[in-house]
Parts: sequence; structure tokens; C-alpha cells
Amino acid sequence: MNDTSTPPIIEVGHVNKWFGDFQVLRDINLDVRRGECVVICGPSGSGKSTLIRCINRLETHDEGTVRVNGIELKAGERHTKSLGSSVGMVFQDFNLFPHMTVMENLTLAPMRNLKVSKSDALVLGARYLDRVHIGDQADKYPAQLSGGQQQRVAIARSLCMKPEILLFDEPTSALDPEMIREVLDVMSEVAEEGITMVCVSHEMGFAKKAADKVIFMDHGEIVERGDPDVIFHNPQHERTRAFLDQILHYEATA
Amino acid sequence: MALAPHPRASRYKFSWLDVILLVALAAVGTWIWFRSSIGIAYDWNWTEAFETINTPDRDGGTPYFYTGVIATLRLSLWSAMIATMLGVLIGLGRRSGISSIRVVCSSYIQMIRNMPPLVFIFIFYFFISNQLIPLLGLENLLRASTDDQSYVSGILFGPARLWENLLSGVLCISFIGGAYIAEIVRAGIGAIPRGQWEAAESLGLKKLDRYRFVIFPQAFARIVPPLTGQYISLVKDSSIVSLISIQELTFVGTEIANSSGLIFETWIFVGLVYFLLCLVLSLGLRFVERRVTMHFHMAA
Repeated sequence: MNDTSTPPIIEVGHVNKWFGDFQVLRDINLDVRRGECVVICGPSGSGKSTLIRCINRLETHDEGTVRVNGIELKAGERHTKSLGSSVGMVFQDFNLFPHMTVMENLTLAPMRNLKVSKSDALVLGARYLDRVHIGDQADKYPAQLSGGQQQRVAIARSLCMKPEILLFDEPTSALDPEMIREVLDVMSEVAEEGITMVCVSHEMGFAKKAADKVIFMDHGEIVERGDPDVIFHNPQHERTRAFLDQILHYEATA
Repeated sequence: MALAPHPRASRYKFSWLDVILLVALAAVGTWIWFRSSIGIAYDWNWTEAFETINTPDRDGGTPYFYTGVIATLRLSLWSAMIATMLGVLIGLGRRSGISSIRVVCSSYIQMIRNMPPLVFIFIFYFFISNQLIPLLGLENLLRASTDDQSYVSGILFGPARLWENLLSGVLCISFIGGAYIAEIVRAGIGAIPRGQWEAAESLGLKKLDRYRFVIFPQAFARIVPPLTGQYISLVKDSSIVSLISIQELTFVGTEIANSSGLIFETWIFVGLVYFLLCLVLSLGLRFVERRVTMHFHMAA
């Protein structure tokens, strides 16, 4: 997977970003190769969500270079058009469209953007719903599903657009504990299929299982990066250790 | 919003508090009736009033009172449509990325909201009828079509000799109503959580598609309830254009009351018609509201 001969699909170089006076990203450098799964962790407010939102242009960076799938994203410019549907995103709050059925949520974008016919879109939708193991919920409305099911629908909805890259912004943080696993299982399966993934997540189990690389961020900068085993069991940096102590504390004592 | 069936059985349950209230109301009513039967010298004459409003005009056509009712209906219908279109445009304009459009739209809203409608109508009417209509050559257009008026246009716009009159009234009411509807539209769209926009954008939906498939259907469910109130206001506000001689229900009511001397009876009839119009409207829109919000919990 860590094939260095091909150029990275995501290249972030010396990126800085400010919200007013507050510097939210500091000199970020990050390369993600095709098919890689990268997990970004760190305390809240460390800029990890902002970083991935810069990759799909929900945010713009102020300085530095961002290159996604061969397209140069200029500082301060949104240009979502050029990215098209090559970058998908799964949100913390699912953000399913509440007025549409599950199937309508899945088929809307393929029909409107990829110009897929309705019958083809339905086949496509059914296939991805099966892949996230809720093929039987196609005609329900999001409010009728559990949080875990909704998040799996959101993953299927993104996959229907056949993105090159799939971003996850704390996909399990809004879930009840008993539903986290079903979502992480689906994410691991997606990762195994070789789609490029960048996940903001604190789920260490998932990171160990699926991640090729873990990145620890704090105060807007990348503090440490490396193999999941190294980051979690033998962190080199004091700040990483302190953070891991905090999230591990209860798990260890429980 | 998933609407749970109303617990109808318990809705009209009487408690001792209701009994006390009813007794108190009855007491007050009796007292007023008793006082007025001594004090007020007014001869109620419902029979004559009823005949007056049902008397056909000189040529045997529709009674004057009913032409007023129909004029109010026409006025409300066209005004509601134009006000809605105007409201949607201005409401969207307030969210525009171009700041000059935002400024124009919010100035318009502020102007209407901070001026009594009557004053606005006086200013605006003299502007439209004396300046705008002649300027645009509408005067000739409106008058030219008098002779060969089709049946359909008669139903939709009334007699051609009153078109200019109707147009002025419709524009006045729409411009006022549009400002309030714009605020409702803006608030409705503004209440859609940011995540919905972001999800639509992340799926690569184009801007128009985002509005059409994701934002508008959800905003619509939020807009309908306050819009109902606004339409009812609009029907009632249509009465103020009687002051610029638009021959609608209130104008007709004033004339009948003055000429027949049956002041109370006439106005009670007029009030009753407005009441019925608004009641039917609100019941109809409540039905729409239920249909729109039936399926989904709106994202908080």
C-alpha cells in the first residue's frame, strides 16, 4: 500500500489557516497515497476537522498548497466544481436528507450528477445498501432508523458517487456506544476495498485494524505520525502520550 | 414531524374551571344585553339588510355586495400569488453573495415593515396610478382590451373597466405582503442546518439542485405555518385598499351602510364574509401543512 512510486492522491504542503486571529492550522504537511487509510486523532479544537474540510473544500486554506486527485486547490478559493464528486464525506451528524427515503437519499446525487438513469440508480442504491447491511430499510425515512443505521446509510450515499477519496469527520462521535461497532465494521470493509480514506476518529480499535498511518494533531499542528502500533503503544511525543493517557484512562481502569 | 393522533377524547373535557368561566361569561353577556336594551336606541332590521345585500344592480346583474366579495377574492388571490413570488425572490436576495443585492432587499423590507400600510398605500397608489401606469403605457393596453373581453379574463380579472383599479390594488397589497413573506422565506431557509448544505455540496450537487431537492422541500415545511398567518393577514389587509377606491368588500360595505343606513347589519355581514374567507383559508392550509410535515422529523 505504501507504494512510493505513484504520486500521492492528496498532497498538503505548508498549509496555514486562520479563523480571525486564531491560527487553526499551522504548517501542515501531509501526503496520502492512493488506497491508503489515514486516521487523524487529537484533542478537540486541534484543527483535525478543519484539515479534512480543506481537502473537500468545505473550508479554504489561507497559505500553502493543497492538491487533490491531481487538482490544485488554490488558497482562498472554494472551486467545488472542479472536485466534482471525487471526494465524498461522512459527517458526525450523518446529515441525511430527512424529507427523503433512504433510497432517495442514495439515488439523488447519482441521478443528478452522474446522469445515471432512475432504474440504474435504484440498482446502484440497492447494491450499496446491501454492502452496509441494511438492504431492507430502503423505503424508510431517516428518522425511522437508529443512529448507527443512519450513519451506514450516509456511508452508502457517499459510495454511490464512486468517490476516489472518502473523508470521515468523527463518524462515531454522535452514536450511542452499542452502535459504534456496526459503523466501524462497515468502515473497515470499505477500507479493505482499497478506497482512499482519511478519518478523523478516536477509535483506536478501528485505527489498529484499518489504518495504514495515524496522525496526531494538537493546537493546529501535526505533532506525530506513523504506524498505528507505534503511535498508540510507543508514542514519541509528550503531547501524544498525554492525550492517549486521557482517552485510555477509563478503558484501562474499567 | 411525526404527528401523533390527537387524544380527541380528552380534548374537550370539562373541568370546574370551565364551568366557572362559562357562568362568568354568561353573566357578563346578560348584563351587557340588559344595559343595551335600555340604553341603545337602534332598530335592528335584518330583513331589510338581507334584502339590500341581495338586490341585483340596475341591469339585473350580480348584487353590488357580491361584486365586492368577488373583488376581494380576486384581489386576495392575485396579491397572494405576486406577494409569494416577490417574497421568495427578496427572501433569497437577502441571502445573496452579492452585497448590493442584500442591501436593496433588506432596505425594501425595512421600508415596508416600518411604515403603516395605509401611509404606504397612499404614497404608492398615487405613484402607480398617476405615474407608473401611464408611463408604461399600461393605461392604453388596459383600456384597449375593454371591447373584446374574453369569458376567461372576465372570471380571472373581472370587468375590464376595473382592471386598472384591480392592478393598483393588487400591486399595493403584494408589495406589502411580499416584504413579510420575504422574512418568512429567509427565516425558513436560514433554519435549515448547515450540515444539510454541506452534505449536498459534498455529494457534488450543483447549486440549483441543492436548493431544489434538499433545501426548498425542507424550508417549505417550516415556511407553511407562518405563511398561513401571512395569507390571512393579506386577505384582511386587502380591506385597506378600499381607501384608494378599489371596489372590494369593505368599499362596497361602506357604500351600502351609508346609503341604506343599516350600519351594524351591513358591517356584521361584511365581517362574517371576511371571517368565512379566512377560516376556509386557514383550514385548507392546515391540511397542506399536515401533508408536508407528515413523513419526517426535521433535522434540529
